[in-house]
Formats: sequence, structure tokens, C-alpha cells
Amino acid sequence: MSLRDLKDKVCIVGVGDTPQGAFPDKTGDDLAAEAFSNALADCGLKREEIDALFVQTSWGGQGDYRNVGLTLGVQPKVGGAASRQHATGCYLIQQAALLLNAGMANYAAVVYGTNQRSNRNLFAAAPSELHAAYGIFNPSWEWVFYYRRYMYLYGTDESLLGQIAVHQRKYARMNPKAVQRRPLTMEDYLSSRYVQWPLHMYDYAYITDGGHCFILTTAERAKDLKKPPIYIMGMGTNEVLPSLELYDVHLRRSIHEPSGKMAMEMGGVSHKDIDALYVMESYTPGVIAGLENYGFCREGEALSWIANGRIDIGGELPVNINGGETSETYMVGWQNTCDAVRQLRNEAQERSRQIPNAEVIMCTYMATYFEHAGCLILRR
Amino acid sequence: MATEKKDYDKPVPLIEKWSQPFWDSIKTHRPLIRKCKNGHVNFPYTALCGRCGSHEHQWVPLSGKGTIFSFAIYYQLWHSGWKDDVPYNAVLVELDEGIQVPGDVVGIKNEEIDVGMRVEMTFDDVTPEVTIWHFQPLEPLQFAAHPLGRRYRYEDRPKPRDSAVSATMRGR
Repeated sequence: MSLRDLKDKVCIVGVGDTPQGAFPDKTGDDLAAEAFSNALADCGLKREEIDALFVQTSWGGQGDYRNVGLTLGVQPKVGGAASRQHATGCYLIQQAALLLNAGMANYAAVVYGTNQRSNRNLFAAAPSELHAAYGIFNPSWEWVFYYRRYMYLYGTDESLLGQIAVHQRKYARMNPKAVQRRPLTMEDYLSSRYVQWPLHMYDYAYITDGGHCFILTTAERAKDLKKPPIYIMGMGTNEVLPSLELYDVHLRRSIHEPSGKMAMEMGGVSHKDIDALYVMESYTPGVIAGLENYGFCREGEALSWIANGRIDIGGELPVNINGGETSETYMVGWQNTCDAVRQLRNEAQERSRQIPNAEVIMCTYMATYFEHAGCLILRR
Repeated sequence: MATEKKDYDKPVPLIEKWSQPFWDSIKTHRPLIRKCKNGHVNFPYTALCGRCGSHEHQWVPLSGKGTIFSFAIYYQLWHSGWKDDVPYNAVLVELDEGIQVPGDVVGIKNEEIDVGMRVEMTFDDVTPEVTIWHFQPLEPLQFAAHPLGRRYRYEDRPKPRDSAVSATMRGR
């Protein structure tokens, strides 16, 4: 048995989401339940048919396995709650796929709900006590240091990040689900306040409440369900346990690259087979890492590579055309995989945002405090 | 460094069993670093060497000199301990012994900090129990060789029209 044997064996058969924004009357678990109900309706399964449950433990202590199971009305045979920080969604989908393929369960629900905006999570944790002593806080910290080093090595300035922020906002404006839909120009970007130089406020994920859910089953069982299955062609993972020694990694490539290679090897695909890319970015420098560390372009080349509409719909590789976390919603990659599934089903609500003939889409996930990288390659 | 020790309100590093000798050495302003019997530099400190698993080690002098790997200027106030300091700098320094440590740069303006700048540790007894380090540039200023020979510095940044520091990320 090799990982290649898992190619196309498990499918995403249902997706569900909630509106994104501020919902002070709802708990994170309520939002998870709402997304779950929508995912059930999407695939036509009944609640009691779900026999595996995977839950993202969210910032602020929500996402307790038992509480979520009870809120959803599910009695799973197997599953669990876990956190790989920003890369949890990918991690849980992979755990579910392995377990379904092994025959341990029939239908798995993978859920995440958070009210991180309404509960005023300030994301002020430090990566370690030593970092806290120097005022290094917030999950963005590694991306800030990453990009300042990148500027030094490759001579770029803040406008590269600005291009990404403006690109994502352009597509968020076409996406009714997106929370940030006001126009954003490069001038607006460059004149906006700094959070941590060189990052401006538009480089940061926009904190939102919301929920997402995926329902997975085997390719065999998927045939009987309501919507065309979206196959997991490839999946990859890599993680490095956090330690202070870690931070000399060169632009974090050694963390990200193996997860992409593993997924592409499993799926038997190369970069040219991939019709669109979703990068779990949280902060705009993540998009650079998504392109360079996952091998779409060489390191230091992102600026010239993204020019001339290459990452737009109609270009060679549409990237984050849902608006990304800076403009659509901060659902740590769940919103990306959700949009990828809908794109592959040719289901984008707004036709202008539908990628024509998208057959294969890659979703990358990159965590910070916990050095985990994940990759999913989905096909219709 | 003239720090007002009595009301030091920033977090201090957590000192644990295996890092106690390191922090003791920082307190004497003569830093030591742990090397295992196979010569690997251990940082942070755990029971075994993270590279080879050796549990035999000795403490040897640490140069305290290094090169700025990257840095950031914090405009956002994440912790009240920095309320009078924003915008403040934070750096990651690659010490000559091959480890990376966080810190901050003192003695120069934020505008003068650059990646590749050679710096050395200076010590600050912030509480009766704990001493921390800051970094100061080596004199005269020295820089590691630059791969491109061009730089984009903090002073070249676009100047935001609203430079007010917000206490939270909200209200965009």
C-alpha cells in the first residue's frame, strides 16, 4: 500500500457554509451546526448516517468534540478534535479520508465554527515566552519576518503585497459571501496604516465569525448522492515541531515544499495540470510562499510571475479568486476548499467568478505557531 | 540600558530546568551556550541534544555577536508593556554560533536597522530575577555581504496618511 493507492478513493460529497461576518448571538458551535445542516442538504444524507466526526478546535476554546457532536446531533463511531492552527482543515480532511478508505466509517463530517470576531479574540498570543519578552505577538509574526527577509533577498517592496491584497479584493467584490467588498486600490493600500511594518492592515486576514463543513465518503458510496463527487486526487502533509531552532529555515520552504510534492506524487499530477490554486494565506506574504514554496514559480520570482493577469480568471493559474482571507473571510482555509469544490462543480453563484472548465484545483494550507503544511489536490 | 526596573511591565522569559544555567549566565552578563559532546549547539534547552540525542554536554562561552536575519517594526499595540514604545522594533538575529534568537535593537533609530547588520548582545537587568539581552550595532557599522547589492529600507516606506496606532485590529 502506498499513498498513490489512495488517489480518487475518497470524495468530498457535501459542502456547507454559513454567512460570514459578526454574529454575536451565536456560538462557534452553533455556526458549526448551521454549516453542517447545509452540508447535509447539499449531499442529501441524513444526520444519523454520519458516523465519523472531525472538529477543528478553534481559537478561544470552542470546538470541543463532545459539545460539537451533541450540537450537531451526531453520534460518531470515530473521529476527534484537533488543531494544526491555520492548517487544521486540511489535516482533518486527510484524517477523515484515511479512515474512510480503511473502512472504519462510511460518512465523515468535518466541521469548523467560530465566533472569533464577536468574542473579540485579539490574537495577541506570542510564539514563545522569549518572543513575548521582545513584543513579538500575533500569528502573523513569522510572515512579517519572512517578508522583510524576502525584501532583502529579492529587492521587492511593499507593493508586491499590495498587488496581492488588491487582487484578492477585486474577486471579493464579485463574491457575495465576502465580508470586505469595498473597492481597494494600490494607492489605498500604500497609504493605509501599518500593523507590523512591512505589513499594512490590508495584508491581514479580516477576522470573522462563521462556519464551514465538508462531508466525505468513499468514491463507491459517492455515486448514490445528490451532487457530483469531487475526488481527492492527492493529499500531502509536512510538519516540524515548533522549536526556536526552527526559525533559521530559509523562507519556510523546507516546511511547505514536501507537502506539495507528496500531494502531487499521490495524484500523479504536475503543476501544469492544476487549473487553479487556493492558498490559505491569512497574511498576504503567504500567497508568495504558496506560489514559490509549492513550486509554481522559482523563489524570488513571484513579482514577475503574477504579472499580466496570470493569477486572474482566464489566466494560467487563477489564485484565491474567492477573495482570500484578507477579503473573503478568515476561516483558515476552509473557505478556500469550499470554494474549490463549488468551482469544480461549476457551481459558482456568480457566473463571472466561475473558472471555465476547472478540472483540478490545489488547496494549500500553512500554519505558523505550529509548523504544519498541508496540500489537497481535488478534481471533478 | 536605563530601564526603570521597578515598574517593568513587559513579559519576561520563562526560565525552566534545562535553561536555568543559560539564564544564570545572562544574569552575569557573560553568556554561555550549551554544546553536546558531539559539538552541536543546543538551543532551546531540553534533556537531550536535539540533533544527536546525546545527554552529555558542557557550557561554553557565547560570543553574543550575530547578524540580523530579519526584523519588523510593530505599530500595533499587542501588550500594554509597549504602550510608550510604539512603533518599536523586534529582530531575529543569527548568532555566530549558528542559532537564531529574538531580540530588539537599541542605540539606533528604527530607520537605521537593516537585515545583514552585524550586532552584539548588551544586557539589561529588567527584574531582580531576570536579565534579558538587547542588540546593539557593532562599531563601526558592519554588514554581511548582500546578495543583490540593493536595499529597501524602513525609511523608504510609503508614509501612511493615518499613522495613528490603533489598539486593536478592528474598525478597519
